[in-house]
Amino acid sequence: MKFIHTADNHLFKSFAASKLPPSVAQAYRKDMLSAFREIIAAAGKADILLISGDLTEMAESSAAGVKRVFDLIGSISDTAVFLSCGNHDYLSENNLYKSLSLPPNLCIFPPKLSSVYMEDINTRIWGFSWEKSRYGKLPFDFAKLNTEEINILCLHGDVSDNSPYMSIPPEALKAAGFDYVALGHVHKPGKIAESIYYAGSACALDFSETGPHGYITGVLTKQKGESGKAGYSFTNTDVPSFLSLEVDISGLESYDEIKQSLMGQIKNPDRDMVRVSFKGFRGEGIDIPSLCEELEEELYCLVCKDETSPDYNLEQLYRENKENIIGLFIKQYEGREDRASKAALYAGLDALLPRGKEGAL
Amino acid sequence: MKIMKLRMNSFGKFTDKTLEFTPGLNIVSGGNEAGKSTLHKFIGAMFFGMYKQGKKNKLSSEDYLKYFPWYGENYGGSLMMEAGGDPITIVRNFRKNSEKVSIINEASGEDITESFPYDPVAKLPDTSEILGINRYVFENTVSISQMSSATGQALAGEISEMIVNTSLTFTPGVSYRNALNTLSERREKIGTKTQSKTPRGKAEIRLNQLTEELKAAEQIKAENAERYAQIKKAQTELVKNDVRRRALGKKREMSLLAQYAAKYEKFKELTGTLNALQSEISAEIKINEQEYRRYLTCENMLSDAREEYDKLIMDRRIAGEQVASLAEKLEQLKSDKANGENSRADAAVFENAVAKLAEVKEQRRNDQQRGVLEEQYNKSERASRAFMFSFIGLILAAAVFVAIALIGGDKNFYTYSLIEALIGLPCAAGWIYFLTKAQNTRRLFDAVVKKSALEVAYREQIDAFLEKYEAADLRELNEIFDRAAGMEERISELNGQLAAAVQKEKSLMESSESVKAKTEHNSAIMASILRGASCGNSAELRAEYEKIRARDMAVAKHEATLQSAAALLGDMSEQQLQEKARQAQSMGIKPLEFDDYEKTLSEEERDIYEEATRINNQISSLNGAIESSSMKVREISEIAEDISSVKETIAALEEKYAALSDASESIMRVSADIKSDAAAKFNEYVSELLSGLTSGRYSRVFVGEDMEITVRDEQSGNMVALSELSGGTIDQCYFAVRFAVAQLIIPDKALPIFLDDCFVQYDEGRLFNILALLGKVAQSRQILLFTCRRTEQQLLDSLGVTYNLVNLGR
Repeated sequence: MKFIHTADNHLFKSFAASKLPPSVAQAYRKDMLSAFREIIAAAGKADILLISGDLTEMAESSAAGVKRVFDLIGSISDTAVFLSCGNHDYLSENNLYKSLSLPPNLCIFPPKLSSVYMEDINTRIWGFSWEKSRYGKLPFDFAKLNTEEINILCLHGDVSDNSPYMSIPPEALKAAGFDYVALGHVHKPGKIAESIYYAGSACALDFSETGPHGYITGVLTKQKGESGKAGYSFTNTDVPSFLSLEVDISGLESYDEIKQSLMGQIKNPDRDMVRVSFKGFRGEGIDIPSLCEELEEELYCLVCKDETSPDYNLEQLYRENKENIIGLFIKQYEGREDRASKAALYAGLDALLPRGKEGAL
Repeated sequence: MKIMKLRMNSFGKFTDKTLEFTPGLNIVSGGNEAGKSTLHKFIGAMFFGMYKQGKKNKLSSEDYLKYFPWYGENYGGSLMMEAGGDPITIVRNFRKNSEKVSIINEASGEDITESFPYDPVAKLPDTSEILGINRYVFENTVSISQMSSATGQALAGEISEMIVNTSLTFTPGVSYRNALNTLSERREKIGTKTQSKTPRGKAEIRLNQLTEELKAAEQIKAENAERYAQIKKAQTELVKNDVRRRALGKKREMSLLAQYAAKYEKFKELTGTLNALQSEISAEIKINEQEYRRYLTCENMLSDAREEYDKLIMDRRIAGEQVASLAEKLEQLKSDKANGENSRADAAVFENAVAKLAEVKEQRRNDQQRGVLEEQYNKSERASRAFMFSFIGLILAAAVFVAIALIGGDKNFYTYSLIEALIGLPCAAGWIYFLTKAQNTRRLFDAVVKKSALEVAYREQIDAFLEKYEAADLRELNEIFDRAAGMEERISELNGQLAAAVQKEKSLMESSESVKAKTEHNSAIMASILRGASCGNSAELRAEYEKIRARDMAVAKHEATLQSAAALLGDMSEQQLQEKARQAQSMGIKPLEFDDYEKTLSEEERDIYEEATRINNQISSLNGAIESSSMKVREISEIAEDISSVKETIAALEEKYAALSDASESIMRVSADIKSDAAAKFNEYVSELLSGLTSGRYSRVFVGEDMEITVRDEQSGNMVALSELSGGTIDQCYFAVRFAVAQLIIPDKALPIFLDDCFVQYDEGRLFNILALLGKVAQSRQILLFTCRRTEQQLLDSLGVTYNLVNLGR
């Protein structure tokens, strides 16, 4: 019996939090859909496709979008597809999964532990769909399994003893005796125990998700009276990578120097999605927004974060102007290290020092 | 900085006037109208030009015209000073359109104009840079005029600024007020969310638009979800409809089997019919079509020949009779020919009789009717007789009366007899009249009767001719006479006719013989055919022949039956049909022709089809609505991203705005602290000055924020408002404030202090004190003291203070 295990596809997700430029976000959503198409193509050659929750970002999905996904699933009519909804596509009252016609080969598990037996492959697939966005404890007990059958569990949740996202006790899960557990929720793919896997998010969903992303292909065989034999492999999906970088521009005096320092860290400028934090002190004439504009020309996607400070030598400035308005102004911000105070300090100095730098004094 | 030398080319009343100054105290002496104020203005104008400051357009100041040269064209001059250790000369032309400023380093001879900042409004180098103060500060601080100490709100602000900036350490170019303005401008550039034209306001508008767009997208999402739910429902209905369709299919299948069974039954029946027809077709027939046709032809010919023969015989007899008749007529004609003359005479008589008859008839037509005439005659006759008898009677009566008269002698009877005779006259006239009329009528009547007798005679004559010539009427008789006239031709004609008749009779004879022979021939053929068909007569032969018709019909029927059977089978073979029938039998389906049932099935089928169409239309319509509404909005995630992006912009703008506000507040706080701190120091300095000037009478001065001055009277120990003091003391006090400011401003530059007739109201004691102070100050700072009196010189001399005297003269 061959299966494909995917999870956390988060189709139609908004990348507002990641601050991706809208055009890039839009393109990446298409990439994510392409990745899902890739998974569907692979599943077309398998017996079953297991989707362990968060297939779509329900709040941000359109009905037409979900219909498109269902059409894709429907296109592999010989493969049985099982979906256990997660916290991002839980079966709420207005969940689109309920409104739309399901393709005949798609089974969405109800919000109670249920199973479907497929005689031709002697496999029983267990599943549970979320119907609210939070679960503390696992809301069911594992059933006693018929060991003559291949038993697979498809579930969205957090394998831990204490999580607000449905704690799945690790020991209980291991003891339940499933031949394979297809998990979703954790975006980093990984093995929890023998035959218990998180497929991870099918594509990276943020700059923090920098590792591999894809889906699991598994083959299970089980003879009567014997325990199952299994083989798994992981396939990466073909989508752009997220790259999170930091560049300290202290001492870098020109745009070229800064660019060089950044570009050296980027392998695929035409494909990578880069977030860069500029740090340190910026020299005279360095304007981070203009620098970012220039860089955007050279990169597929750039998210800039300006964490630099103007190159004021505050100590010297204070020392030299201890008794006049400048010194007294700087003193106002002594010990105030928060971002807002820093901004106010630099804004004030900018206004007070017409030529902008202490060197002019 | 010290002013060393100046030259006024043309300025006000001065022309080509050169004055030299020393670094310490300079007394510029001159009486009223000597030009002290003009000189003072010239110095200011050399630094600041003669146009209004703080304007966007260059406008000449009021002083431009005020000091326009009385003589000379060269409105300008030069000013040499010692600044920063270098001797520098400013050369300036004030004249409009020829304005020019040059700055020359006298030590190097270098033109250093370019090194000065450019004033884009005046389009000249900014020479105020040398002083480090603006015109306002120059005129109100370093330059102290007589009684011009009164301070306005603007001065208070400037002084406040000065206090802040001059406190402790002066920082060139630093202005807390400028900084506050800059921060305020920057805040304005960001704007607030209610200011729609600012970035912040625009972001707010965009955010609102996006929020609306998101709402719309969510609304459409909900509507489409509902539409999809309807589609789902419709699809369920479609499935149900499909179940119905399949059930109908099953029914139809059974119906078909039943029909096949029925067909098979019929097919079997047709096969039986075919077999029966086959035997009918193969039965022996003794006559064939051709022979029968030949027989019929012979029979028809025989019948025709017989008929013809009979007709020929008849014709032959008629022809014989005609020959005889013609021969007889010919004989008659021949005898008639002999009587030809008689006949001609008869014809003449006859024609005369006919003409006379016609004439009589014509006359008779004109005559009155015989009866009428007879009646008229009778009437006239009776009338004449009546008149005749009356006349005779009267005459007789008259004769009687005459007789009487004669006899009786009564003469009256003569009268009577006359009367009678007179009466008898008309009667005699009537008698004659009617007698004449009766005779005339009698004549007419007789003529009519005569004519009638003539007509009868003519008629009888004509009738005798008719009879004689056996003519039916006159016309015929005429014809006879006409014929008789052409007797020869007639005889010849008859001879011809007779010959033809004889020929025809002969021909008919031959024809009848020929027909007779043909009849016999046909009879022989017919007899032969009858023999061949073993038939005794035509009826038997016809019966035999009918068998052919029957067989043909059987063949046709056979053919039709075969076609029916083929139609029944359709595309199937007999075995297949049989198989279906067997299947139906095994399923217990009776062979039936389900016509009505079929109709029901068709109706149901149509119903199912229409239902499917309806549902599919509904689904397409819903899908269409989904598609069109989806096109109206962007994806929710896209809008969410835009919202997030705008919110981020707003956050950044607000953060910047907050930073600018925070910085402003800090600067204001710090400047307020400095002011209060500096004010104390300032007050201390002013107090020291005032104490020196008043020989300790007023030791404490307090200058408030609004520049209101109070002093402490050492004699009374009270704080006294300046306005309560004597004019001289007030002047001293203001001088102290102004001098303090002048002293404290830009101390490192040590600008010259201009004192313009400040001490006019001072008594000698006060003047002594102040000059002593100036003498001290002048050691480190250039002072230009403008005065119209000599007192100052005398006192300075007495104080032993050295000074440079610049005499402007009167």
